[in-house]
Amino acid sequence: MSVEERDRYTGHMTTGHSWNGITELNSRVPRLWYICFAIAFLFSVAYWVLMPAWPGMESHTQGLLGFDQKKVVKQQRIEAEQNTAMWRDQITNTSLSELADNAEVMTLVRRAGPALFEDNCAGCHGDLGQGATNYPSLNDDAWLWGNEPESIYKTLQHGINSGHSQARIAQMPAFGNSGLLDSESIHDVALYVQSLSNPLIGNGSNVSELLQVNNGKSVYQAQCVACHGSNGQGNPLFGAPNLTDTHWIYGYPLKTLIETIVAGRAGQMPYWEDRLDDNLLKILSLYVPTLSEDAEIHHSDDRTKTDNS
Amino acid sequence: MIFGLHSKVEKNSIALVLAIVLVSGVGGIIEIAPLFTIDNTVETAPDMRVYTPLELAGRHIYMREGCYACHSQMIRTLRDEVDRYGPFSLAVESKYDHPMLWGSKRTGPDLARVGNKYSDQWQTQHLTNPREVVKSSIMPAYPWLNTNELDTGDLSGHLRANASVGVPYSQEMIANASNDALAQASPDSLDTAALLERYGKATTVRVFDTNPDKVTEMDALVAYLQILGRLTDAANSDDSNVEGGS
Repeated sequence: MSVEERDRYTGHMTTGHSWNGITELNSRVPRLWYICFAIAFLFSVAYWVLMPAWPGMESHTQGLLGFDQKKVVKQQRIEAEQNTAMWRDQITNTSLSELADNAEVMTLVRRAGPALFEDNCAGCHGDLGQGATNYPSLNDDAWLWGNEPESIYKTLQHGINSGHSQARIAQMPAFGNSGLLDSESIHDVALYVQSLSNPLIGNGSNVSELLQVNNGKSVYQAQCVACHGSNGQGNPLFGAPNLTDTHWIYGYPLKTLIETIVAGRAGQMPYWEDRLDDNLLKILSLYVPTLSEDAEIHHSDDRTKTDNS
Repeated sequence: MIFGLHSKVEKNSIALVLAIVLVSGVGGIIEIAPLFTIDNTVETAPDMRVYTPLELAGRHIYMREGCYACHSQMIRTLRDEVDRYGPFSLAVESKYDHPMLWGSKRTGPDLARVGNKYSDQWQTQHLTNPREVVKSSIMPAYPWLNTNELDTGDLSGHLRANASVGVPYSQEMIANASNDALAQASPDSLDTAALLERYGKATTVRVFDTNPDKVTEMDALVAYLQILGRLTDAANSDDSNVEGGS
């Protein structure tokens, strides 16, 4: 240990350590650093006092501001509800059919609907409600349970085959797997179902086909009329689809129809009453029927384009 | 001055050691003390149920396939998250998660409350090829889950490991884990009654992957996804929480 002395070049003291004549300066902590340190220290003291900070044996210190992020979120949502109280009250207290006639409400529905639909429905039904294999389209005129806002509202609330106690139940029996029909009858009835929407099938040009379709028709009359109706027009009471139109949930090819009849179908739609509040369900119920109107507008646009070109 | 004290302490080894012990002791207390009061910060959930063996197996597949890398399971206390995903996540909801899968980054949406949002068929189709149901999806496809038969051989061990860190699996549950896993995805199985006896009537027993012929990894993963956010109703009933959003 040598003696601390003042360095003659910088004016600072040295530590007194010397290695081969090289001495170490004992310079001050830079002032800016020291100030920042002091500010940070003061900030943390203030923070401990104002905000929840220190753990104790029973609980933690709550802070003078009583800050709680959970409360903040709750408050923000209350404020959001107050900002929309005008139309919320209107939607809560008015029946769906009256709301559907109210142009002001429908403007709101068309504004709020797309985001709600995108977040919750588009995964299955497509972003424009166009549907996909296994998932019904919502932008056409084919409806399993009816397209009145009330029916859609009930479907949204409780779902279809969803496990909810009030869910809509739609179950097509597995005619093949349960042994109700043999494979020939299944083939023929599938062909008959195809013929309902395709006049080219069973029109008499092919005699064996005509015989099969006729046999299919009698199988249909025995097994299928209860739900799908005597003419194949479907029944919204059971969610039984219309078989005479060109809209198909699972597909129109003979192979798919046979699969459907062999194994049955029980499409599932989740229930939303736990997930979305009642006003939002009502908005969606009003928005969904507008999808087909929008689709029509798109179609007519297309037609105008073709006409012009 | 404080710097004068410092120069004295650093030249005295005993004083320096004592100072180090003092400073790291303060840090240690700050880290450890919250554990003594943890009961005050974790909510109670008397209705909380454990994962069934099938759901636990699905959870392992979720981890194996790295789902957590893109999907979080943590709805934060922010308004936009509550609006989109539902009530914010509570600590108690992860009570039986070993390890927790909260995640810290989202490429896909949060999954903390995805249970029952989609049908089983949708989940299966989406995992097999996401583009089939969501055109713009960038999620990878996991088609092998449909063909890989579920390996239930190690489930008893997994249940025992979970039990050793406090998940209330009984000896009976541990012993029958493999059978219970298969029974949950086979509605016609003779073991179903015993499964419901052990795990409660509300346990969902069904074919999860639309293929009744065998129990696949898809069955397990879909069973797990369908229970996410539904082990307890605490988030909806907690006073400090808000009602579910859109």
